[in-house]
Amino acid sequence: MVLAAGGFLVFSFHRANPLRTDLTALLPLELQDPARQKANELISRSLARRFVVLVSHKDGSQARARAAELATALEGTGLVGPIGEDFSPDQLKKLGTLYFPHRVGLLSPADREALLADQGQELAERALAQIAGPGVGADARLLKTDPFLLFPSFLLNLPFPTTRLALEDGMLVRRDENGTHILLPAKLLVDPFDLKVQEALVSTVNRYEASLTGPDSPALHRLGAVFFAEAGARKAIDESSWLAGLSLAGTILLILLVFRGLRPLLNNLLVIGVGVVAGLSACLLVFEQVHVAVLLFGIGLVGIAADYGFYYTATAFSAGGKTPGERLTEILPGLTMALLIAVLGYGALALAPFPGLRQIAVFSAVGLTGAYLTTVLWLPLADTRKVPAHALKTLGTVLWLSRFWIARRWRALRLAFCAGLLLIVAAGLWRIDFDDDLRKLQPLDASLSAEQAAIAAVTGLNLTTQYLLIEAESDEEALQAEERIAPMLGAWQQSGLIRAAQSPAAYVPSLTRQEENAKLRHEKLTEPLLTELLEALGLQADAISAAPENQLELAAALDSRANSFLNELVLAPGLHVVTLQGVSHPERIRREIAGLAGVKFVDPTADLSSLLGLYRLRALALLALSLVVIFALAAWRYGPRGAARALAPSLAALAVAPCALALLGYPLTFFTAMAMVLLLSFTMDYSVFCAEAKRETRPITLLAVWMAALATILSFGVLGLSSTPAVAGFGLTVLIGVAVAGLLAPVAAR
Amino acid sequence: MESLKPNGLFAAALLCFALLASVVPATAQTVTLADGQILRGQFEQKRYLSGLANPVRSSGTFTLVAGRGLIWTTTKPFPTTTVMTEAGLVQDVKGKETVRLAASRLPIMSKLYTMFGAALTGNWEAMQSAFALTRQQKGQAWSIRLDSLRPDDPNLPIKAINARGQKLLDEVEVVKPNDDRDVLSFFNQKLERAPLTAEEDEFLTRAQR
Repeated sequence: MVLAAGGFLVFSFHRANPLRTDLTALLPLELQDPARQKANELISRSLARRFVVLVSHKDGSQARARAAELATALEGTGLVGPIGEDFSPDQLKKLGTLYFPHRVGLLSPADREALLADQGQELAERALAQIAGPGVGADARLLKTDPFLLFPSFLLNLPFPTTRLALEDGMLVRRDENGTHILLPAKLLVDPFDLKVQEALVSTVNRYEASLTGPDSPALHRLGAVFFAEAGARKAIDESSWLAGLSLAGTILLILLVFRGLRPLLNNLLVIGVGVVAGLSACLLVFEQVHVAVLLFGIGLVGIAADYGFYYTATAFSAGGKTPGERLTEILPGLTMALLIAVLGYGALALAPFPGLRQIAVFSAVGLTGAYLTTVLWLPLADTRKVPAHALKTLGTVLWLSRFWIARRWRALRLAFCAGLLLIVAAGLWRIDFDDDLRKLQPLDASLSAEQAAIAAVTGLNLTTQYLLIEAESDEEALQAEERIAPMLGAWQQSGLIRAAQSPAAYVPSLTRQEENAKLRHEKLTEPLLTELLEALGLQADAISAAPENQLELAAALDSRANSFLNELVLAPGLHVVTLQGVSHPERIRREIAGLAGVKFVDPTADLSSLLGLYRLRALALLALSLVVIFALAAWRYGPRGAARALAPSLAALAVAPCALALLGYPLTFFTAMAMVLLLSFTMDYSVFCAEAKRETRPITLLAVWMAALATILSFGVLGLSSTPAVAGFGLTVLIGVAVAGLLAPVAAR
Repeated sequence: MESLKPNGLFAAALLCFALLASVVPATAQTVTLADGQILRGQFEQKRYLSGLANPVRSSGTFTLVAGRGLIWTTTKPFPTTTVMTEAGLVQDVKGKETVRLAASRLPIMSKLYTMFGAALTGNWEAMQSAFALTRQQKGQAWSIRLDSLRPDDPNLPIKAINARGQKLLDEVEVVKPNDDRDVLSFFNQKLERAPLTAEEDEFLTRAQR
């Protein structure tokens, strides 16, 4: 089985890199609202594929040449589509080809207002002014098909996102006092969260940047989810490799120090190795991909998987020539109970609908079972049956240490220790601060954020993530809903609540609206004013070709892909997005749309933060529930007093860890709460080992417990060194909690 | 089968550019507008559109303000004011804004202004990237012909420009790819350094918004 799992791992990594780096992959599958969830997923998927690189140089032709080189290099990777595709010179032509046959029902918002207000005459005069004026001209073909020039007006008033860039010879350009800036907009053809893709893309840009040397080289700025993801993944991988190294080195040192032999080391490494291989391959089998953060947490398994091996190996210290089988039988209840509690504890994680946590749950449960089975089935066979020479001395030290909780002369110190813990709880409890702001938990790469700000400053480009989600039975109904809220959006824009908005209905009016528009056009313009206009122009009435009564269906517009913005706004039939730019007061928008059915304001980062807050509460509730169940289990086995004693180390750890963290200035986040859930299952191991152990094996049990605690501190505790606050908070919680529980473990012994 | 290049609509926006380019005399020895200088004059425009029996005529005055923009005031057939600036084009009919083409929305407008600026400073290189220039000089009189290097470019729907003048520009003809053409004649041009009228200032300020 171990070989099969190992083989599967090799196969999985060989076939494709199964490591995921996007944060969304870690996040809840089942938000309270499936439509919102779907929208978020689709939007982040399409947004995540876009990225831009800004090439700036004092000299315009240098900037152009460098931008062209970089574009070629990027396209050469085969990972990105043609650069600047959506901004090609014939974009307007494509739009014209899509809309023109349906012009009868298409009116710009202002023209529609004018016709509704009976101002057809003004539109006719505008047409004449344009035909005669210098600024806008129309050729005879256009005049014959659209004499009032309503179609160009519609086309020009389509709400495309505005930037400070202008198109020059197929490139998006801005000039300012610093020189010429050229924006290369690109779209990835492949998954931006695939590590290989990230590496290939980033190294292409880096290589190009490195090839530009000298004082006259252009400045490059980049912006896009793929760059942030790559930076995050690089950091996580760098961190996890040195943390894992630290953890492994510490564990090996610990084993060598205590057991003083190569065989115990190899045996324990086997236990750990089987645990990791089994866990990772189970994870890949179930989820196909594993998030790098899971890998980071997975290194923690090294410490837990070691518990069982340590316990068994420690039994060799007991004198009296027991066979390995006998020694195993002695500790089997403790091992089994510990596994049961750990699997139950990790099982609780699987209840949280975060894919990342589920991956950790599967990783841990299968990994620990693998470690347990290796300990039970393999270690007795590989045993040398010799009592190590230093056994007595080691056990003597352990016994001496464990006297701390019994010996009369340590009483004052014991009281001081407990008072210290109480003081931490008393002082920290009031300083616990709940904060699940995602931006603080997983801060974005600072230099990339600076580049983003630089690009925004030059181009006016704004990556918007806030939007209104429109849900309706059909596209037509969704479009009608958007038309109903359009006046409100206009008012928001006027009052500065938003800077701009893009709604699907602004690109393709509902069929009802198109019918109304056609009627308005006929009644308020063609009927009363066409003859007059034609006379003024000197055109014959029969030269005019009437616009066909041909309505534009949303589906046809989507299929044409003439407007990629539109395709991004329509997520599914009846599920539309109205993007909002420059939202100044999100809470006011929430208030204003509160009464509207089928319209929701979505602010993904804020939503995610509040969702994390919700899950923090749930995790704490889960913890309370677990405590009740575990207490009941313990009371059944040890009696109520025994249960209280057995649980004391865990309870103390759970009380002290968050308070100590608060004193250190860390908020209580979702991740702290999850660490506390794990803390319970770690510390229960110690309690169970101690409570199940007979008096005569107590030193061995304590030795195993303290080794386990040290190994956990070495594995999970080292996460406290992570530079990501969420991970550091997690590690510190475990570090402090396990230290407290380990020190208190002898209290749990009967 | 109907087909249409919406860009055709903007073609004439470019005529302004052509006009501005030609307002500044093509020969090296003639004046270039300095910042704050104003060129005023009268114009008459005949727009020949294929399929229309007669040209669409208009006439009025123009004010070119270096560094700010161009105010094109049509008095016949009816009062219209068109103002072009870096920010785009704004048109008023009877004192009411009816058209606004922001350069940020219509990239072509920005291209126009790049070349507008180049023409104003007498930098014809910018023109040479899109046109082949042929100059002729006979005593005081000069003429210039600009042939598009890419007549199919939808962003620059001008086939050719013919301009002639003496001290200043007298007449310019702009030919579009479909052979529609505009013929503009200029009279009474004056180079001034006087302040703008309040109305002109208001126009330019509003158009630059």
